[in-house]
Amino acid sequence: MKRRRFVQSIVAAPAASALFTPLGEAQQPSPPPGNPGNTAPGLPQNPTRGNQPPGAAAQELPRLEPSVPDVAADTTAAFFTPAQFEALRHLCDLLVPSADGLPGANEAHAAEFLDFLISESPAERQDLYRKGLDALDAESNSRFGKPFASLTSTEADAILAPLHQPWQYSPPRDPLGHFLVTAKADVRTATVNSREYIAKAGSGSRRRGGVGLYWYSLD
Amino acid sequence: MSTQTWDVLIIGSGASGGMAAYTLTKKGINCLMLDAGPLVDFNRVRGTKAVYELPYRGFGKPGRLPHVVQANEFNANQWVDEKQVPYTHAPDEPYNWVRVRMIGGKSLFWARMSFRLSDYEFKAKDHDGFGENWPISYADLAPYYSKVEPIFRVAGRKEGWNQLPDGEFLEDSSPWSGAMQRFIAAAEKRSIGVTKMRRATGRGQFASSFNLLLPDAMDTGNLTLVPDAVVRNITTDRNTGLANGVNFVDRQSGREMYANARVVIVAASCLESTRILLNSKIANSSGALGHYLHDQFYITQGVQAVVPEAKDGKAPHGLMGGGGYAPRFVNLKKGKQEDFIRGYAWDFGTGGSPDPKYVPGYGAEHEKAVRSLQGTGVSVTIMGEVLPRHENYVEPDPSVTDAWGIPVLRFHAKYSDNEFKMARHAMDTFAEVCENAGFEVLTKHDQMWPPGYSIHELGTCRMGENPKNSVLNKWNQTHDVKNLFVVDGSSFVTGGYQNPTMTILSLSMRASEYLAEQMRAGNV
Repeated sequence: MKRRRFVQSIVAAPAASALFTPLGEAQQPSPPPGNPGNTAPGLPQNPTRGNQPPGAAAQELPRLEPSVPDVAADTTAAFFTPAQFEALRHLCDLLVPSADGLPGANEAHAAEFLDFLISESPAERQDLYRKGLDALDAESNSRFGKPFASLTSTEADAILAPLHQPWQYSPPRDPLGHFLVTAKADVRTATVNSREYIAKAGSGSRRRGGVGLYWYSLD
Repeated sequence: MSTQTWDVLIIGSGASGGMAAYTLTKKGINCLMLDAGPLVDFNRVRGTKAVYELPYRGFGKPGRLPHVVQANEFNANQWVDEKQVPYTHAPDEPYNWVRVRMIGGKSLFWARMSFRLSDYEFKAKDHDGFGENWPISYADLAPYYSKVEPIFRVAGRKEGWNQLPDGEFLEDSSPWSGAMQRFIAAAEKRSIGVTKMRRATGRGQFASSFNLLLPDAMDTGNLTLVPDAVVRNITTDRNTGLANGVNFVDRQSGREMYANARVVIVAASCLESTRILLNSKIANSSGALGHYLHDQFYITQGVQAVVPEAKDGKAPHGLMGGGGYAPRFVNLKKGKQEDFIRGYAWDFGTGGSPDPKYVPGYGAEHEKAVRSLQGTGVSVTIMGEVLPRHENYVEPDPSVTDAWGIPVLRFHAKYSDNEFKMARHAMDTFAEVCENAGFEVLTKHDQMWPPGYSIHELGTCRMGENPKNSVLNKWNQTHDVKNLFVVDGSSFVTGGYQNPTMTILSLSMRASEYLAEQMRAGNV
């Protein structure tokens, strides 16, 4: 009782806003007063049908199930040059191949996603990627006379040698090493956070790649 | 139009402001509380999403919150927008200032670690000669810790250690896992004590001013809470020099407003409080305002080890799991026993999985290696005391203002040799104890996050006996203006290695009780 009175004495937002449930948003019922519940912070409550917030009353709203764009379409990769993108695709396949029935980086469209992410990133990151991908091709042409995208995994391993070094807090000084260490982490994240991977891997842990509690922007 | 003069005007609704309101309203004192942020309906502003539904697939929008390492794509909207309320620093002196503006403040999201400071902190100068003592001792604050801990329902285990005094705990008598027992035995050989984490369990979802302090204050009928009120400055009476009110802007409409008050309590969080005082050009005859900025340095995953017996999913039941806290064990005898003064704590756990970046290689082999280490991890966050130094300070930036035209803070902060040496010692010692316990150390490093990362910013408005080198007296009352109090972490003289929230709450309660008596006696 006390809690509810506290909230009502200062809130200016209209109760009618509870009627509008944006598409795709899981319904969040208000916990009943006086029941602290045992929900740990950060975990979403299970939406239940019957528990409507006050004011919603008898108005049953339809529950549509939206998809994400990646179900329907491919990302248009426009940031990297075609040569850089081919090198990136091949690198993705080497870093995170599909294994044990789980999608790898290419099935997860990690390269396309990273093209988008890097296009929005600060100049320093963009430089790191571009120079790194160019360096892969330069090394590959120098050693094997063909672009990185054409290398076998054995041939590529010679160029990916920096990834066999033990971890260090500061990234490698040489641009290629620095890029590879960064890409190793980014490609993995882009893969395990993808719809394809999560669908196959199950919900996994809440913290990694699964469902989380999202904050909408405050008024 | 309100021509009302409020008894007490409290700026800020977080831990310290909430406690001031809780204490004063229960004594029948009429309080107005202003907070720069909104009152949030947590059921409306949060919802479940899968990470692949987020625009950046969990990476977060690049460059959105460059100084908030704790931000991720799920929680980005809960932090103060760095473009709306910027701050500045030289490129080689980074500072991570992490802020929340909503009713309840950071107390909505804190990690809840709840410790008492000891006379190693309150009388630090007596112990090793550096800096100043607090003008109070542990004995002065102990009764307030004892009142605060039950409100926040702090769980812990009594140990009887001087450097980490016991509290009024919900007793934690949970057992240790096998891995923890091995670590504890190895630590004990070096006289390093490990205890259960001390944590505010709160009620329900929160251990916050929002649910533990403000509702009770409201119920007295003596609290008026105005969200979305961005304070510009505190005004003073031309003749008496006393504080008499506050200029603020209504965040939603942009209207400029003014509230009258008999007493002003600043509780806007450490640096926002100091910012308000600096912009008000008030209470700074000492010149100390803005100086002695400190926090705790944090090293996350300073050591990453694994328990070999747990690899490949072979951990027997009860081997892995749970964590502990090892408070300062160095420099406990008077003076200096290491090549640095003061001390640090380890906050560590077992049963996690090492980050794949720590495992060399790539591809299918790498994935196998990473999987074999799942659940085998032992890793530590090192939390070290930072010396409060005059040369670490904030000042109003001469040319940058925020979205409301209020001058922002310019930071000057660097670590000293003492911190670097302490960091190395903390890393090396933890790694050694791991090895003695039969764990395999995968990686270790002693690289600290920038100052401010801990979100325990302290000092800049310190208390002291001497009005020439401090802003506040031992009651959190400014030396210069007797009806002006500052009750948050800015009042600290030195912060130790301990998380500060319990101390902030206790100081605020104590200062508020003193203020109430002074008002009753007609002195303020």
